[in-house]
Amino acid sequence: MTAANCPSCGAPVAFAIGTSAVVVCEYCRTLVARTDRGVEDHGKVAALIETGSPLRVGLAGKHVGVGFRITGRTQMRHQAGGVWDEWYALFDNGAWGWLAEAQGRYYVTFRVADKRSDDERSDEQRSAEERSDRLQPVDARLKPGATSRGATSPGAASRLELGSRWDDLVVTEIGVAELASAEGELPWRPDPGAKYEYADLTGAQREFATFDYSEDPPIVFKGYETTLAELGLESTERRAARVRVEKLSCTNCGGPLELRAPDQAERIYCPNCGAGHDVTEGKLKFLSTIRKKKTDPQPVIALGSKGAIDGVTYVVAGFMQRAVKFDINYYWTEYLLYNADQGFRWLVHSDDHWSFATPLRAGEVLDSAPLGVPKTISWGGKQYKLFQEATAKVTYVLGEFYWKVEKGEAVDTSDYIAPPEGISKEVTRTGAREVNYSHARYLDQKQIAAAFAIGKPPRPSTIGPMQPFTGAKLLGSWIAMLGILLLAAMFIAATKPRRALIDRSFDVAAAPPTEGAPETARVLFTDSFDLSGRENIGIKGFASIDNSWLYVAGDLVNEATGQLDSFELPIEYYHGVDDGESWNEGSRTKRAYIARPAKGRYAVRIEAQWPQGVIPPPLHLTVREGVFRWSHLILAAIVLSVFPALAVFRQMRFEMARWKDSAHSPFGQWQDEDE
Amino acid sequence: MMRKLYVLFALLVIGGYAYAGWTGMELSASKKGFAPQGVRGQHSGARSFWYTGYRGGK
Repeated sequence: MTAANCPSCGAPVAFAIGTSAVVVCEYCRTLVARTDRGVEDHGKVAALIETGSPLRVGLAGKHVGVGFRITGRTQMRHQAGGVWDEWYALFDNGAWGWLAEAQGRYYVTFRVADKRSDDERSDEQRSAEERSDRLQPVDARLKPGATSRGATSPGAASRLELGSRWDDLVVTEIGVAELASAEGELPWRPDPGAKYEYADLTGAQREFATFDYSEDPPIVFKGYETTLAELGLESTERRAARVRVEKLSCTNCGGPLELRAPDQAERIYCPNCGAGHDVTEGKLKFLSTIRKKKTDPQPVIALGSKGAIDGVTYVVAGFMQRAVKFDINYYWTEYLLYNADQGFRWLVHSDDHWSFATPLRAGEVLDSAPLGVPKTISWGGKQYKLFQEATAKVTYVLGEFYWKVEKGEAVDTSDYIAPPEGISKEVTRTGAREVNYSHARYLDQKQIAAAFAIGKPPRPSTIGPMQPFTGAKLLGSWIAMLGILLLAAMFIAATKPRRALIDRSFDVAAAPPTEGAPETARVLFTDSFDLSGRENIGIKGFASIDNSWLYVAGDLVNEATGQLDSFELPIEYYHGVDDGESWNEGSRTKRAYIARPAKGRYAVRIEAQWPQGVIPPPLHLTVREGVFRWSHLILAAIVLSVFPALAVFRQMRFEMARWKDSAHSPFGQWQDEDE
Repeated sequence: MMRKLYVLFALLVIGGYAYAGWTGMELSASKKGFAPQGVRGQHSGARSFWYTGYRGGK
């Protein structure tokens, strides 16, 4: 340990760590820098802003099995107004790590060193690197949504040992940070008030990297998003889970204002008079008043209400209305929810549809054109289809927000859906340039009413983009039932006895005329046969008639009882050529079926008639016992298919209604034609 | 719920089909009748009867 006195106030300061560069005087907040000649005053920093962080100097934890101790922190101010903490941790292996904290998320990163020293590089190499191998400054090449591969010049990634899996990190934010304050021991010498350009990148597997442009060439930090639990700081997390509420008064109307997330609130709009305030450390600075109009939207869920979603209790901190303009303005409202453990979430209310949105890391989302509007994006192994894209503007705000929101704020949005889920992409092109993704899940009326005890919300009159189809989905059941039907049919076909009873031709014209019958009619009888009484009877008649007919009226005659089962075989077949086109109608074969007759001895009586002046061909008659009925199988399959077909039709109509307002509807062409 | 109802309905249809197939039932019953008593009493019984009138044809 190196002891010294603060060059500004004379208070004792101590460098407990051999590799630290600066220690902040606890008494006068002077940055005391260690030099070859002793210590020197490096300027004063402002007092720390209370951020409600669960971390503190001196706290010990572990990362990937290596112990660390927090030695100090800097507070950086975001250009949108917020501050975040960067904690410096000295690891047991002598390495310095950075523990960044923003909106309830933690990132542990390490500086990426240039492996080759100056001595190892030739002048030519150095010259080449000067020209092209450095990280590029914040310029057009480094845009939100670009990958780290694109963000660095060719070769830079490998030179900086980012490794191949780091090539596809996505730039999520580019901005300017201002050093606001510091405490403890730091491994570098910050300049009070200095501004640093930076770019943050995230990956699919919680990778996180920062390009820090405070030096030339820029410094790269890489690491991972982590949790306090993973850092062995769970007890700290619990300590932080307390929700503090600060009660203030509106500077304009004097009405009560409550800060639900006082550590993170940047702006609050009075629900009584609409006065907007900047929030700094829980103090309010009046900005302007949004003129209240009768047409202003009213929150369905009151600010300050608490509700539980997925078992987590959130408080409604803010309310805003946004709009996109197509032919007319389309409005929707969003509620900012806050939970001390989970951070911020959104409830989106549009056309009486509700969804619950959770922010995502940009790197998690597979997006082929992060700055563009691709037709699909993927997240969590699921593909989401583009529903609409537009520029969304804030048209009304109430309550508290973690950024300096104001009326007129615009972002480019594109919404992707995979009902009941969706991904919303927002690209901010002004100020701190950011691309943000959030995952939304549809909530039905019961869920939203149960979560926030707001009574029964109105039923939507339209189909929402993420609204799930709740009608029957019978495809799987239908296939299963058809399978069972086929098995039953196969079983019947394979096991039932089949027997030919009659299979012969009858020369009807040669039969003797019957008394009382017309000249062109004859009556014949087949031989007798026995029936089991357990099977149906199939009768087939065939006659090679040509442009003629042979009408057969038959009876299955029980020889013992005289009971008749009548059937008809109206055989007729006509064909010809009309206007050069051949045609035919009828059939030379006809079939009839009789349900199982009683057991007994039977014969078939055949009464055949034919046209005058024609000699009829022989009639070939086949009579079988136990006939497989294909028509019954087809009819059963049709009956089984009716409800699934109706369900599919209903779902199609639902999907068409869902995509009605989308410019990317898969039914677009059809709907256009319909309209 | 709808799926369960459908499965129940489908099983009834399949059961009906299987029952009809197994027992030799037909959807439409054939026209039943009896050979006239007088005819049955004649030589060769039912084989000798003739309906009066025309029963069909083109």
